[in-house]
Amino acid sequence: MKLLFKVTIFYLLITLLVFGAGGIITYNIFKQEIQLETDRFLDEKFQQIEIRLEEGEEIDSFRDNKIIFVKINSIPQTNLRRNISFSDTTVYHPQLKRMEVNRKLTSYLISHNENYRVEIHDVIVETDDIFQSVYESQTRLFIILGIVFVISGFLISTWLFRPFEDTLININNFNIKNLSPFTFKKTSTKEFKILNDFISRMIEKISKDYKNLKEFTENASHELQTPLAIAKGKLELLLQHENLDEKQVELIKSAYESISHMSQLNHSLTLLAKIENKEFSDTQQVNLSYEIEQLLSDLSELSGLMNISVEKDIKKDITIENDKTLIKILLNNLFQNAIRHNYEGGKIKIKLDQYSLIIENTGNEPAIPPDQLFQRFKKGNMNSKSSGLGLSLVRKICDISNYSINYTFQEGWHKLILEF
Amino acid sequence: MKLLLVEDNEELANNITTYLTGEGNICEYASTHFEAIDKIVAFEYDLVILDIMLPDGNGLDVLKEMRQHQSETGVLIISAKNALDDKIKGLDLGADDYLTKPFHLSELNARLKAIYRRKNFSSNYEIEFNEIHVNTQSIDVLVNEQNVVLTQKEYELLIYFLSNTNRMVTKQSIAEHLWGDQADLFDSFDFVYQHIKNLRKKLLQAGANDYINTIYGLGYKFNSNKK
Repeated sequence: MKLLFKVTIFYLLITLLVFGAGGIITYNIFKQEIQLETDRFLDEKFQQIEIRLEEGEEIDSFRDNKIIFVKINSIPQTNLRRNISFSDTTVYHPQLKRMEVNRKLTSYLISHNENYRVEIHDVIVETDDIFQSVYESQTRLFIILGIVFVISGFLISTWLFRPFEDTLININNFNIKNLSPFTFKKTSTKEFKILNDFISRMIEKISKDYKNLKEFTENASHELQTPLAIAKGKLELLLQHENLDEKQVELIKSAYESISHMSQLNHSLTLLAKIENKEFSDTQQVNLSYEIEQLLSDLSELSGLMNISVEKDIKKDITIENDKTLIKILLNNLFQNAIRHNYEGGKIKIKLDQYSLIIENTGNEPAIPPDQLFQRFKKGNMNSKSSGLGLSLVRKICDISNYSINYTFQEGWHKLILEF
Repeated sequence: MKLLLVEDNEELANNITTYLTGEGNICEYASTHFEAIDKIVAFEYDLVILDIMLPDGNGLDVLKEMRQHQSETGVLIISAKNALDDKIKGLDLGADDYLTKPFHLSELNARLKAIYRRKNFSSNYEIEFNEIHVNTQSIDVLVNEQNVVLTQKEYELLIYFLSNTNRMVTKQSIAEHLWGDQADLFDSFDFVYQHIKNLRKKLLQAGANDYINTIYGLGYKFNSNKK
């Protein structure tokens, strides 16, 4: 949801609450005011009667359908001011032909030594009428305000947030491999200036780090391989000496094997870093069926030596779009694993269709939980000669290619499902 | 063979020259681009071993320069950069082979000899070793004039031994020679042993001497002194 949309909705909700509260307040004020005015009007009417009675007019001249005089024996004493009280009542309305809410004044007066109770009433504006009008006016106001909000919000923010949108687009298009520093449009908003400055500096730093890392990867590979080659060569030369005894050869042998292992580790780590750096991005159509058949024939001698039978169900000409080297590394690791973690006389099943590649092989149960197998240096079999990096290479390639990979072990079968 | 090694790392160069010297080989050494050009212009070599990364230039430039002077010289590129790019570029420029560091000295030796045989195909495609005779063009192996039928791997193994006679070759280098990158797959070198056993059996059956010595579980030596 866009920021602007969210802000507008929040504002509208808050306005709705304020308008609701405002409506209640307006309604109450209206009601009070109307009552007050009606009471004053009734009071004035009563005073007029009093004055005119004093001037000698007869009581009967005031009688109409809104004024009632009732003869009483004595005037009750109350502590009310001028002995006047107000109350609500309902009176039959002859035109509307129904009962209507009225305001009634009750008081007492004396005329020609007779005590009278006077009741004056008049129609009052009904509460639901007040409610209706308050409600209508508030609703209209709210609608107008809402429309103004949305339109002005859209216009203003489009103008105001333009630099921010530009920045977002820029960040979105940022590719670490495309090392040209990108420029931001000038903005007069302080916050955006700070943001843009910060992003510029970050990107500069990231680019620099990336370059350093890449250089380091390349250098590490080169610089480490050479001393390893030297050490290995020295050991080989040492082996050429006559008169070596078994103990000496044994020592040389273990040094030699360690160096070989180190060299292999170095190679895998470099490869992993290169994949992480997305250095393999020569995307093209790769014929997966062909690559798999090719690899299987390369590996056939090895699998034959271990008496492993290979059962394959490979659909023809399945192609995927990716870097060819990456695919080769991926397949190589998967198939090598299927052979390495197998036993003499085991089986491998391979199934390829346009959605997935399934590799199953017989083997011993891995010593660590399946979800850890893809981590670096986690080995199912701690004594094996493998580097422990094969499956993390596989995982890395799957991650950057958006493939999903799943491993299960069931009834003596390792099963890897690769979905692309 | 007269060899020139162009390699900036002195220790590595030392290893290589030590291994290659002898057997009638002369191995000269240049540590910089400048020195290499200097030698190539002045002398003729049968083979040049070329490192790509040099302190004062690229080994591929040496190759370009060299092709103008000595077109017949065999060139083997060695580099730690196992980038496909360099490999293709090097081979395009006329290198004969490419070897990635780190490598086994015995592997380097075998590759150099293979290039040498190819380059001088008019006279040198045959390897003679006492009663063993190999024609690398027709891929025939004769022992005492009698044909011995070997599998592809046994043949490769024999050539590898004959390229490194009287030297200790490790099981690992044999595995890598025969299976390349896939050699990692071996938890043991039993497969190497299988092939050696078969090769030895076939050679013995054909009447050859038992030249293959096993050395303390680490490797083998094709011993010419053995009678």
